[in-house]
Amino acid sequence: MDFIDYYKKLGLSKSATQDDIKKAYKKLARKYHPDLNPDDPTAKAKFQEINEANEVLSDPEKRAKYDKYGKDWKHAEEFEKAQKARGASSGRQRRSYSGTGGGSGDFSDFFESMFGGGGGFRGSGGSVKFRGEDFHAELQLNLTDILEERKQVLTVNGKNIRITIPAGVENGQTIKINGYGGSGINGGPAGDLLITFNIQNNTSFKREGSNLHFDYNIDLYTALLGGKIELNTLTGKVKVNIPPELKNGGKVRLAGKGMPVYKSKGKFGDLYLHFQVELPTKLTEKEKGLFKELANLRNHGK
Amino acid sequence: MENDQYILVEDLCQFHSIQITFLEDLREHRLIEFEEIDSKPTLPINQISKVERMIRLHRELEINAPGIDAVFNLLDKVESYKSRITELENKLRRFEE
Repeated sequence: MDFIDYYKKLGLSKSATQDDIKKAYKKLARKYHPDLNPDDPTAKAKFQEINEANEVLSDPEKRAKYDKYGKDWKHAEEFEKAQKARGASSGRQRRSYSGTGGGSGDFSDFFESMFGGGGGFRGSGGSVKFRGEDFHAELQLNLTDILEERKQVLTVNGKNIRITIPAGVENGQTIKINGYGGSGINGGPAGDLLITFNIQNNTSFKREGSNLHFDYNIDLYTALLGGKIELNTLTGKVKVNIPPELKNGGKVRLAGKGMPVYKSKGKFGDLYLHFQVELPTKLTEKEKGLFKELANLRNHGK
Repeated sequence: MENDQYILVEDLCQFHSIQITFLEDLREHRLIEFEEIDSKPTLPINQISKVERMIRLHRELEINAPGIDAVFNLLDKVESYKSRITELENKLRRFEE
């Protein structure tokens, strides 16, 4: 457990007045308040730190104790025991962020050691109902895992939760499961569970929403004369007709061969084939002759 | 009150030790809507977490109703920008893979 410099946390010197402390705390609280920084655990941690610093420095009694023992805070308890009972009530009300009222998780071990966990100021707020904290979780899935709706059991804080993951869920998408977050305080409602999906593309297709894209290298002759190619899609093999005189970079749309459309049962996006014409290499003398003949035919009509 | 889908505004104010005038102010600025049940103002339960967020912003940061309105509008914008960024990142992945 390390010593915490509360003055530094609030950007103040030891000579700061109560007014300086109030102003510094308010400025930082406006910056790091969890309600202004949703889904930002760093801001929440910072807010708790400045809250703790304010709790001590804005209370003359606690501040005096903190200033007196400073880095020797580990021995403060022994000194204090001799003088007065630990945890004398200061009668002040602590500020608490939703879901943590009355708990002991808001303050550092350093704070608990120096000021105790059962002080009078902690008793406030006992009758206030607070909504539980929202839990955040990340779930990693492969692209091929979300071709169909799937049911999965997750263990969150020791509780098993059976969730249904809709087919076609987007990478980075967050779904909310009401009431599976932290328990409410004093009978308040539970928070929510927010699951963010991290979809790894384990295929050679590129995904854009519900559409898929695939770069297909096609030989010169099929591109010029047309023909049929066979392709593995995510749902099986398909035969594709290639029209004659296909342009390099040209594309063909295979309707309904893309990803399932999110929450639209039976609907699928499209698969786009992007053709790159491959030119033949290592030409034989005979092939070179024929290409020359073709070139003459094209350039001079001979 | 029998109806567990609503909470009396009076009860909510008591829980949070907050003046009813603050909630009336929020209503004035169309941030919340009261529903009259048995001639008493109530709030639907599903609005409570939003209202509690407003109460915290007011109590902890001294932000008044118009300020909260502005904050909520900006947070909505941040949320839509975040979704847009995710969408664009996903599009970009198409060219990076």
